[in-house]
Amino acid sequence: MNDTGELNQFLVEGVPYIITNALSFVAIAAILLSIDSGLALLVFLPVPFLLLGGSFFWSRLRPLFHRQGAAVGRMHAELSESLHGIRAVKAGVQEARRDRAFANAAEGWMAMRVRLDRTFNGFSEGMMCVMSIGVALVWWSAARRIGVAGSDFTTGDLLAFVGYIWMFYGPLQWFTAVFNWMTHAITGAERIFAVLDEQPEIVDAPNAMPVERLRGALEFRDVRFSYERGKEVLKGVTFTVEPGTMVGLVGRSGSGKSTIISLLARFHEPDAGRILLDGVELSGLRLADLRRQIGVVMQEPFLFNGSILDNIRFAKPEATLAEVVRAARAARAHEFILDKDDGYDTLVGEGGVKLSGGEKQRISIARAILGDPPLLILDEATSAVDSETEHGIQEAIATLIRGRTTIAIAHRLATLRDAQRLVVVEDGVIVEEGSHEELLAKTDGHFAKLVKLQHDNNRIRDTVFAP
Amino acid sequence: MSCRLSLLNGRLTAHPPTGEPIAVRLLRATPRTDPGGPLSALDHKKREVWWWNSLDELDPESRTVAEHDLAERYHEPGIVRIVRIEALFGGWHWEVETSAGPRRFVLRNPDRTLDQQDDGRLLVRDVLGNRYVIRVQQLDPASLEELSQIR
Repeated sequence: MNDTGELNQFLVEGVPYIITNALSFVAIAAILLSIDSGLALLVFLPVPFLLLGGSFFWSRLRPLFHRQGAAVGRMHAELSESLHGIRAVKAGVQEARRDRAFANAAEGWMAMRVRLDRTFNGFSEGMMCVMSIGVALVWWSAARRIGVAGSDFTTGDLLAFVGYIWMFYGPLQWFTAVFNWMTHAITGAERIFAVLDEQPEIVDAPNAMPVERLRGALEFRDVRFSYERGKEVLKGVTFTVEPGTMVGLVGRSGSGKSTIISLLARFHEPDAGRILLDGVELSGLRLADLRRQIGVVMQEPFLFNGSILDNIRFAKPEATLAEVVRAARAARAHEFILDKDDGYDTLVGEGGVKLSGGEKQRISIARAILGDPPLLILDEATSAVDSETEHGIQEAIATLIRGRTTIAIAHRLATLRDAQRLVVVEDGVIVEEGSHEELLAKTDGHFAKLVKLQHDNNRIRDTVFAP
Repeated sequence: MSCRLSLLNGRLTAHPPTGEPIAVRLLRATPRTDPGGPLSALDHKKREVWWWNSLDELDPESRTVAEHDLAERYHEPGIVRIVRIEALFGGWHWEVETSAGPRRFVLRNPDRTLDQQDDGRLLVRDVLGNRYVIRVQQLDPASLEELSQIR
């Protein structure tokens, strides 16, 4: 169970348990003392042993509960994996192996369960033994006093005592467990508050400038960045983008393209170097204003559970229907939206589950058009759709990028043909820059090699998967 | 000059100021939040032929045709009682009483064809594209019991 779950369960179940049982414990102790203080002391005699024993056993039981939970999880994981991958299992003739893996996991769980039950029952019976000693002492002492001359202790007193003893001992054995539980809940609460009190890494500088509308002149000047100390991801990146032009970032996975984008949106600060927008350093601009100037179209667009209308309006909540329709038309989304039963009122479901990949992408483009940002980031915007849909989306993107400074990342190099300039990144360094044609002309260049590699891969794929 | 609408050989036809008459479907842009709002005519290739900001932009004759077509397209009887819902051959067979009388219909993919609205209404779309609305809070316990099989 996670920290919030544990804290919630403790507050809902543990706290009422502690309060009611602590009150009844004190009340019964007072009643026992009022009936016969000497006998009451005999009842109290096993209390330290119960508390110590409880503490000892619970410290052993708790890890066993965790391990038992993990063992069940492993068994379910084996089962789920085999069922989900049933075709792969059958195709690979792996049935016997998967059976064995499941049997091992189930036996592991059973062994853990037996061990847990043995320890738990040992604990319960041990506690019962200790409590029985207290009860026996009461019987022994009381029996010697009943009917003895000069003693006012009656059989009724004895029966009342015995009745109260069990009510007194009952909660005791669980108190240590609850206190143990409380310790964990408090530790969990500390972790929760540590997260809640965390300050964002990137905040506005005291003299940060408000931004109305940028022209979109972008400059990276010898930018260095590392996620981990000593492992530089960007090693002095320098490039410029003229306002209203498109630059394609090209390179293998892990070359640093996405990091450049993250730094531009100021999700991180560079370790060294400067990033300038319209000649002003990013850190000198108000963060919220800066991000309003940037539109992002990603590979997996984010749609929230609402109507198509609300999802497009996300970029500009005050937009009229006419503005939304204009943006949707420009994004080539208007007609497919109208064709839905509820038109612009169509609910898209959680994460846009009721729409296809291409439809979601066009809605995210409509949203970006409505937001009208001067700076645009296209992060693999067409890689999650089929070729036919890609054509429509390319058209929509062509409308979107008009007049905006655009940084585009795409694995399919052909989709960057519209970029005025390509910047080739390799291992955190810019190794080549130029237009599509200029870079292709360098037959030994990095870009030309990447294009050839992609071309070969496509040819192999076409041969292997040819009908 | 606006585009006219008429019924030609029983089909709704748009007559744009320029170009040939073309068979269209008349659709509301926001049928839930603003049913009286903009309308669009799509041809069989799902291309927009015309856009009206409201019915007021149509001439009286076209408006009558449009109103009749829209009333049919967006006819949405309310389900007042659910007699039975049965799962059979991969579909959910409903037997209901609606504001327009008793109905039987089949539903597939409830995840996609049942839409819970923020105002508490549940919209149902059967395999033939007919739409029904359920005001869940107004259903009797037996109907709710039937509905609970599917939601």
